[in-house]
Amino acid sequence: MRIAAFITGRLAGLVATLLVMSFIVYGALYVAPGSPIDTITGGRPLPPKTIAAINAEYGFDKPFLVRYVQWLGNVLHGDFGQSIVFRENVSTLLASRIGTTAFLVAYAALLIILFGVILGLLSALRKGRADTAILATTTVGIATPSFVAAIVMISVFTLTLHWFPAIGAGAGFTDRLWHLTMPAAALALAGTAYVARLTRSATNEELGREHVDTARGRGVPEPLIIRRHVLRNALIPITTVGGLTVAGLIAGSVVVENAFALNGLGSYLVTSVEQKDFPVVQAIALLLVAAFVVVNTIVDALYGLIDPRVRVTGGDR
Amino acid sequence: MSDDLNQLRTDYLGGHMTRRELLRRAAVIGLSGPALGGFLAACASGTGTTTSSAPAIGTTVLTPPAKGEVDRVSWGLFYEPSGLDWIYDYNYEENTVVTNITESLLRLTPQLTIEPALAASFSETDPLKKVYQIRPGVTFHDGSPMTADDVVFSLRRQLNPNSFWNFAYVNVKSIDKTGPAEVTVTMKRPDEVFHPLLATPAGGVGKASYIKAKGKSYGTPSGGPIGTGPFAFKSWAQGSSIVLTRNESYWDSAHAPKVREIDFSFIPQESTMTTALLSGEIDGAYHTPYSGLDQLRGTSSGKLYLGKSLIFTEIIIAGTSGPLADHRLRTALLLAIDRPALAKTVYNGAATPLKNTVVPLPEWGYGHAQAAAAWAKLPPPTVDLTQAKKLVAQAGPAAKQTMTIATRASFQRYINIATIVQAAATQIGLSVKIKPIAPNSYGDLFFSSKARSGIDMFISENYADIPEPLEILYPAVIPGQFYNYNGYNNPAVTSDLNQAVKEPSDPKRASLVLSAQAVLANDLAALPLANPAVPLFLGKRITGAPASFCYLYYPWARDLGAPGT
Repeated sequence: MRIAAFITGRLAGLVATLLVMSFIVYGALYVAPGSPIDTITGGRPLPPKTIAAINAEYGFDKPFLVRYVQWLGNVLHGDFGQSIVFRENVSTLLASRIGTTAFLVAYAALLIILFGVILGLLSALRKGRADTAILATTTVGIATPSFVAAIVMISVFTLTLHWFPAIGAGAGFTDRLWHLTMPAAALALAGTAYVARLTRSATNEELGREHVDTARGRGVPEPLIIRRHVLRNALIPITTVGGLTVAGLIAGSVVVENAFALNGLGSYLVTSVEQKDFPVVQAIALLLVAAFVVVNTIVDALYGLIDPRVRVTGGDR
Repeated sequence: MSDDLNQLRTDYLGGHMTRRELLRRAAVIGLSGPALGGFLAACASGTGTTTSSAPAIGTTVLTPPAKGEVDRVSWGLFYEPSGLDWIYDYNYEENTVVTNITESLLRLTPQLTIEPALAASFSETDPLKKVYQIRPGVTFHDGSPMTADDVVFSLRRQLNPNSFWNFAYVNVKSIDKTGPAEVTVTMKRPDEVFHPLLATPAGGVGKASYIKAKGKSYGTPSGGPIGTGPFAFKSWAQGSSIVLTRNESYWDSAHAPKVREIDFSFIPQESTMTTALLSGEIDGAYHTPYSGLDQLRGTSSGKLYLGKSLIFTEIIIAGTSGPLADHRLRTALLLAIDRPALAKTVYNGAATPLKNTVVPLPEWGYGHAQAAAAWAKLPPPTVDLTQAKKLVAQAGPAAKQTMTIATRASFQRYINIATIVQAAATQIGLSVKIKPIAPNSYGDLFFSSKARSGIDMFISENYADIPEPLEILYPAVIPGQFYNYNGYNNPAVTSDLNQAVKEPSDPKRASLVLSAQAVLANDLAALPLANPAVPLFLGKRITGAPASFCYLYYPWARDLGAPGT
């Protein structure tokens, strides 16, 4: 029952968030200067008669609230409208892109969690030279913006070694994996370094705690101490930060998608904001916020699994 | 000796050697002192005095012809086309793609002249009746024949003001089928710009029944277009690619396409486009980024061409008052701007300085010799600070006001130009403030007087669609026209152009336009800056695509193929 209440609470929160967010985004876009016509014509001049006809066709001449309410009404009927630039249904436009971003973010998240935790643990448990090397590497990793990583990777792995393609998302699982390896690595770089750092310090902290000393004193075997007493406790901050990092990847994918010419949601969001393509911006923003909330909910649920003390208590977290 | 010199020049300009190495090699071939200075100056101006193996910038029209077939070509576009319905295709990449699918009654040739395409012939029984004979034996991609009814339906679509090409039809009264294969366009008043505009999508022909069936979705990913062109629409994966396949029964058998499939990718990031061309992932692209030209010039994986173009960069004078309303200050500002340097830096060497705004090239579709002679007489694009300062002093108090130049925010070329203008103004004691405008509202400057308020000038990189200067000139300098923002009114120019618009004879029309041009070059209704070339890169696997600006309105992919058999 408590789980049901938790989920209901979360859902209500999600709907409220989406509603407020949609209003803010629509308003911000409305206030921002410019019009989508500029995109379609590439800024080339058109006679005033044609401009007026297009404005009337898309309702750009109507007041803000009328347009927003109309949009909202359509969305409640499951109609996200048509892209102004492409004259195509928004749902069709997003469907062709969502796969790329989902794959990219999942791939990068996997890399972050896998390599971040492994490197962090190695660093904390091995100490010495491994620790120093990992510290140095992660410092560089954190400080490297993903677009720089992308440019370096393209010049090394595409132009010099010819291992990976520089553009495109590929088709089919293996081809996708091959195409998206560089983008995912570029996207995951900073996050991996960050999670590795955090894992290292969390593990180090747990290693120095009294209950670990006590366990050692009682002769509990070291692997068991690490697993049960160190890792389990260290996992709480790792999950928090890991979850936030992964949720942030959705926004971070923008840069990488642009650099590798991927047909993802992130790059499309940026393009459609530049184009003032209202229906598309709204739909992507809704989708991203929903994804963010879902990831955070999963993280919260994970706490419960890791630590019985924070098991859900009716959704009032 | 002259071969050595040419090689040296090519290598130096191509960025294959440093200046130090140049001096060493120059010494080897016996070039030193003043001779070397002259050589370097020739290199810098981009138009060598020696006959070079590399053609002058912006003069190339063709690439070596294709001899063999190619299975698949991957082509780069710098953004995703918004649609493939020709009436809404009014920008680079839309037209680059759709021109291979939907053909027009006429077409723009690589030499930038107009020739018949879907209209086999044209006659003008009186100045108000333009009669087009429809080419027989042309079929659409679905196999059905193209009829006069399709042509009438297609041209009538343009009468809706929603069409981006509606401006071509302002003087059209009606479009009618006047014979089994004959279409007559009746004009309200004589208009010589209408006919050549039929080489653009303004003269595009689609299949009437198909377009009616598809309704609003025609030309979108879910309603792929059907035309008569050398390539048929196959698929459009939103956000990633558009695929066209060869039209096996293309009517123009002399130009039967050699490429089986062409796959367009969308690569907005400049560095990524350059990399993809260098690595061969993309076989070719028109309008490759200026930032990557040095890398593309230097690579062995393909060849870079700088094609002849109808693009022109100018400064538009935005208002009727302010310092620039004073003719002396407009002249002074232009004299202070180093146009050759601007062409070299802003366009990375892929542009030539422009002497007159609205007539982009000395060679139009007609009146070549006359135009070239008139062009030679125009004042050269050189800097003259002494004269400029003299004019500023004469202008008196008007010169003290600060002027505002609008630039498209985050658009590097415009920002660079604005900076150059600002620096030039400072040199002669004028003051210019740069005002960045949000990218998607920059276009408002062209049609909203509110957007132009407080702005003295703005930068425009535009192109003529056809080799007819009247298309650009007329709306910009005739009083009361859309793009005449500064109230320019010179009765001599107005009279010349009003006659020219009605003049069917090419030589007579040319002399009227040139007469107006001579006046305009002095009046400076706008400030001419540069004529950017079309950078075209073709990878090793392919050749044949025309290098000139025609690629927007010529089915260029039909000439593409393998260099060997």
